[in-house]
Amino acid sequence: MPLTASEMSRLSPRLLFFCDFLQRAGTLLSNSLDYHRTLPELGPLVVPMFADWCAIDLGTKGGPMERVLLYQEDARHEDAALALRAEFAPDGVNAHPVMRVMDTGHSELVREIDEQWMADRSRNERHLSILRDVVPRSAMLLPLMADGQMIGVLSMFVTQVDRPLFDESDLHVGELLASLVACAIRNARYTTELQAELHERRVLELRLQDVIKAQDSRVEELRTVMETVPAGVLIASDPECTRIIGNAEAHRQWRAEGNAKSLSPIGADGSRLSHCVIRRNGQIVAADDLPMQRAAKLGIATRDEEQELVFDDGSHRWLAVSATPLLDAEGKPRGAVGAALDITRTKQIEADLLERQEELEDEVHERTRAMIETHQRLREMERMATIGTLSAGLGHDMGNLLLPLRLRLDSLNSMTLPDPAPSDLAAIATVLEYLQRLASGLRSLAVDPHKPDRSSHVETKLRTWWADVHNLMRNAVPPGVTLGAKIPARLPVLRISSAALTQAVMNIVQNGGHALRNRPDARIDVRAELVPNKSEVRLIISDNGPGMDEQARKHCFEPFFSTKKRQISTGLGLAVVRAIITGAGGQVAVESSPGEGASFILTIPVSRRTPEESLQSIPSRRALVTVVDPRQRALVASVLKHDGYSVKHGEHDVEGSCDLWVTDAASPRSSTDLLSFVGAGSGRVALIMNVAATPVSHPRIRAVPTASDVNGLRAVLNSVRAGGDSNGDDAQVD
Amino acid sequence: MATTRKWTDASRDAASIVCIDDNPLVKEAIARRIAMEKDFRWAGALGERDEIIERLLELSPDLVLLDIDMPGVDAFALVKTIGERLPNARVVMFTGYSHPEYLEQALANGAWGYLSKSESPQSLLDALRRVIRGEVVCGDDVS
Repeated sequence: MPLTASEMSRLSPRLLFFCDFLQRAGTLLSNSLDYHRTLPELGPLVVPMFADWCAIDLGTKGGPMERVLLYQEDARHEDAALALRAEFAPDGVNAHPVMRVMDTGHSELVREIDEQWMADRSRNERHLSILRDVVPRSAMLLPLMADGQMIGVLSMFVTQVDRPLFDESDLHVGELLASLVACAIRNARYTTELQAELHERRVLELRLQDVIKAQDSRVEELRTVMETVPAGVLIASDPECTRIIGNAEAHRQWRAEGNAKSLSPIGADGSRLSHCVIRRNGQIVAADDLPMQRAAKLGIATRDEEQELVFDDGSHRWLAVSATPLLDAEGKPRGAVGAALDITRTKQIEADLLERQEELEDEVHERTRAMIETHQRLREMERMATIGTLSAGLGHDMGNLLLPLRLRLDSLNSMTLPDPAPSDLAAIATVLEYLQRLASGLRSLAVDPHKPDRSSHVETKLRTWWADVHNLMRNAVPPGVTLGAKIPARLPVLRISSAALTQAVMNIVQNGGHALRNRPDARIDVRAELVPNKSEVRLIISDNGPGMDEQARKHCFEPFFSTKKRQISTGLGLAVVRAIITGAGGQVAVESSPGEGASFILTIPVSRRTPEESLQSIPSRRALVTVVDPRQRALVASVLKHDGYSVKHGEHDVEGSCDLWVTDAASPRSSTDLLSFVGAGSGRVALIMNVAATPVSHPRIRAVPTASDVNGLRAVLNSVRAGGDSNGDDAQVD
Repeated sequence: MATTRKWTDASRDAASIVCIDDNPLVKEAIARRIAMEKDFRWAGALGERDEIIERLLELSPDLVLLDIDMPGVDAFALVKTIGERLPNARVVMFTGYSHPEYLEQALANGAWGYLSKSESPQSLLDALRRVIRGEVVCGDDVS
């Protein structure tokens, strides 16, 4: 702070001078931190205010020196100053007045310079000569010290005779000035160093910022990649994998909660993975045996290890996990990175494919089995057809031969013959009867698998059929044998004629009856059931007889196989059953074992009508035939019977419950009778044979031009049935 | 089919019968048995090699027992022809086959009966008598 005027007035002029000098020097030195610029400006202040010559030499102890200032204002000494600046500046090696101060670090005041002082401090004669020319009278060499270190020397000389020589007070002022100079140099140097350091730091900072920016960019790219890739990305930063961070996909895969900090199944810091179990090859995997854990702890890399996550809710997720260890500078595992692909869909597809493949294999197996079975059945049918053709031919020829035999025998029986001729004739008659049954049986074996049985369009309602035939069947079994039946009411209509079915079942019932003779609690049961595909009905005839051994069971349907005595069996009964049922498109089978009875299973196709229609009962249809010509009447009756009608003849049943009336122009009944008949019921139809047009107009009175046209008649009957069928009764027949 | 034909046997004592069959054993046996019945008269037997219609016109039978299955002979066509040429002769078809369609075919062509060769002799004779009375006969085995 500058002195006030009153303070200044109290000081001595010399002191005031020193203060002014030092204040100016301080101001000058503080103008700039560039001492290479400020120190030379100090010369014009020191000279002439304080000395005639002024020099500042900077350097270090024992090191090179730099002369930053040598100033004087005497024109006479310009050359000397130039030489002293250029040639004899202190260099740190050769003798120089400055060097002693540099060595000692102490101020040197030479009040009066003598020849010896100059000789001691000159480098050579020329140096001494230059000094002599300058004639220095008094000198102060002041050390410049900063932080206890020599940094240079401030030298001041008095050369003018009118300037007082330096004294002790000047030395104090000089030392203060030296302190100011040293301080300025130190500050300048510090500042320069600081600036350099700051600059360097700034450069480093900029570089660091560039690096940080680049790193931020990489991190952002990496984060984007992590969140974009369709895979779970996992990073563990410690060998124990106590904390595993993952991307969003990883959190989704492991069903980690949004705020879960770690995906480690063994981590304690917010791990939410306790809600699932991890399996590999069906076995639960220990937490330290997972790919990430093996990589982080043992340094073992894993590629595409399949894991099954089984969650608490029972759902599954499949992952293909890869993991790679992260190594420290010494090559030891310090963590791991991993990737997990969700392969659940792939596994599901694989499982579906496997299942489908198994299904296909099963289907192929089943179809192959069915094909083999069909092939075997076809072969069997072909074989049976061949046998049937042969048998039918044989039966026919036998019948042709038996006819004259029976006629001859009958002729003989009408005569009175001596003994033992009558008994011989009776024996012959027995043989003929057997042969006749054999011939009939042989004819029944004729089945052509390639030619549909004509009876295929004939339908039989099982329950009604049984009601008609059960008495016949009962009479066919020996006394003491119970015949039971269980025929459900709502069974589809069968595609077989009633007569054929009766013959087949009769053969089986007769066989059963024979097997049950003289057995207690003997019974035969007939029952029916619809097969699951509803296209066939099983008619099962069971007995509790002695049953059959394997040999009998295997061959019982073959012609001429019989367990009965030959004299009462043709061996054709069951062969005929098979011929009838297979001829209707069905199958026969037998289940039996010795002592366990036998069950014959007739599987018969249902009618070709729709299943819904088949499940409905056929209405009981009755027809009245009053055609006058007996042959036409018989023909019409035959066609009607085969169309499922029960036929009545005569003129007095018109008012009965018939559904159809077939008459002709020769019939005495009038048109009024016809109208009355059809008018009595909405389903009633009348047909008039051998007329081109009906005598009365009614939609249910129709004309059949030619009675002998069987196909034409059948077509009319079909149209009648199509328009006249209705749901009928389904009475119980048990 | 003729529907106006009328049985004209009332003036005769016995119905004359002709058998058409390819098997001589059958024909001879039938002839032997028919001859034993007073209401029948055996008119003769014909085979597949005979001029059947011409011979029938000569014999003029009341009843023709016709085998269906003769080599080279369409028995159903023959029934129709007999009906046309000999309207007073009643044809009974005689067969070892029991197809229902044969029955209908026989009746449609004008036959009065369709009998099985497995019928008993008495049944056969009864059936022939019924035909002569104007009935149509169909054996149990064939209907």
